[in-house]
Amino acid sequence: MSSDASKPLAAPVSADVRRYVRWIGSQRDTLGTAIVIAAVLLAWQFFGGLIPKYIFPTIPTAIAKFQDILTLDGTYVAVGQTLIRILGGFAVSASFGILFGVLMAMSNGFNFIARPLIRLIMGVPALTWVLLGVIWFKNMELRVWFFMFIVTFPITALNTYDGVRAVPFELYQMTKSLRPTTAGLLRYLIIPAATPFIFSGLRLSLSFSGRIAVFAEAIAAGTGIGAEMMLTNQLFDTAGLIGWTLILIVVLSLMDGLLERIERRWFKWRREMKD
Amino acid sequence: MVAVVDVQSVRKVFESGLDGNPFTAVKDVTFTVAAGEVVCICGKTGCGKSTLVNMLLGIDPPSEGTIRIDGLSPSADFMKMRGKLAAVFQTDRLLPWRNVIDNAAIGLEVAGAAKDDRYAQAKAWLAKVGLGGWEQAYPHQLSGGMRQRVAIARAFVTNPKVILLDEAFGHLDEVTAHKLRQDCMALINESQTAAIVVTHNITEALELGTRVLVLGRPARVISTHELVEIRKRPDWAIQRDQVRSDIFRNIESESFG
Repeated sequence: MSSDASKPLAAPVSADVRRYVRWIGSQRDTLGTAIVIAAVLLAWQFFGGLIPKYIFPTIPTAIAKFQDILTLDGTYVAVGQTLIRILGGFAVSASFGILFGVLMAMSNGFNFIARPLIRLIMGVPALTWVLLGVIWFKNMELRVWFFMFIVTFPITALNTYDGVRAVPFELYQMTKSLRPTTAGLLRYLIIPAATPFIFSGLRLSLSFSGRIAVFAEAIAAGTGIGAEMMLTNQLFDTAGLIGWTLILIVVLSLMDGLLERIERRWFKWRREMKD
Repeated sequence: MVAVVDVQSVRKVFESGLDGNPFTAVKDVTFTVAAGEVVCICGKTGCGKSTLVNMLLGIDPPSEGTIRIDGLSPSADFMKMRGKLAAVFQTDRLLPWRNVIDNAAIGLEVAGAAKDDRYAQAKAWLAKVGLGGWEQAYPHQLSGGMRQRVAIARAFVTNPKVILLDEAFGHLDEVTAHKLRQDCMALINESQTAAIVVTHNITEALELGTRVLVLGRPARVISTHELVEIRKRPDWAIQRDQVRSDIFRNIESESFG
């Protein structure tokens, strides 16, 4: 039988070192993001030196252009227009999508019609919807909103549908035994139980909303970040295109961060999975 | 004594069983429960206890026969029964997004009670089940026994006429289950609520019941054991073992049909 008694004991790790290791562990996400950004910047700088500037500008050129864009008055107007479109379109599509998803899950008759309809909408290419929007609507805002709505509401609706269908029968039986009205059942059980699914649909939908709004602005509207990007494209201004893209990334990241904060606050009751 | 629960010749047939043919889950069940009485319903797994529970809760209507709770039909008078019947299930079934006090108060909230009133009552019941000071905790922060105590407070908070315990102590360890059974019985005695205890545990049925009904399969009452009088006898321990043997033999003798 072997014994570990003769082995020297490991030196005790100081509390400071343990705290530092824990802090490093807690910053893993930030560290990962920093590494990815650093790698992208390195690759960018490397290729920027090999390819003509008008096709692929170097980092200093892109930063200078980004600063130029930030000093223009029109920039904030364009950002504001895009922001209003994203938030407005998102709010309308999210509200409708949640309602649609709940109805699908709670009514077999509605689901019978709704599911094939959603499948049909999702099967149509995005470009077709944009072009149809241009033909159908004269108003530019309506075109953008229509396009955002038609592409993002099925995402929220399907996630909500899955969430409602996943409500545990045990909780349904318990809540039902309290004899709530249908509205009460939705309020006390169905909507809160489906909220994790709804939130994941909303985050996906918001991310799509941003991209789609810009796409629609580029093709079907003359204002907003998308239209500015289209203009840089027509002028072969790659640095400008990258500058506007950075602005869009900042705007979308801020909105996603906000939604994530709301989600964390909302789900404080959840036991977090820790590894 | 006036019966608070009156179940007469109840039968439940599902149109399509596992083999596609009609399936009789409950064949013929008749019993009554008076206020303060604890009737335990015992039977093998799959004998139709859950179907009977769903019918008592009003979630499933009986195919034949009648169920009356305080003069009302749990299924036909579904909304009128609000607050009259409460249930404690095998698992706590707490809503994980609600804290302890909001879980305990949900029955009053559904009934439309004012916030201050429902919180005051829920707090009092939580204190009675030994959870004073835990009002703001979330279910995942509690042990299994504590969560089941919240479920018991949730059941009693509406001051129901009838309480239904469906394997309520079945998933707890023996020590916790024993303590919880005692505390729950004290609350039932104090409130003089009519109680129906559905269990597959014969020892539990003999510990809690004033009467034990043994169900065959499909569900029908194959024997009834009155315990009030024999519990008073000095040889209760011997009598209890005799009743346990009788119940065991009755259940065992049931063929699967």
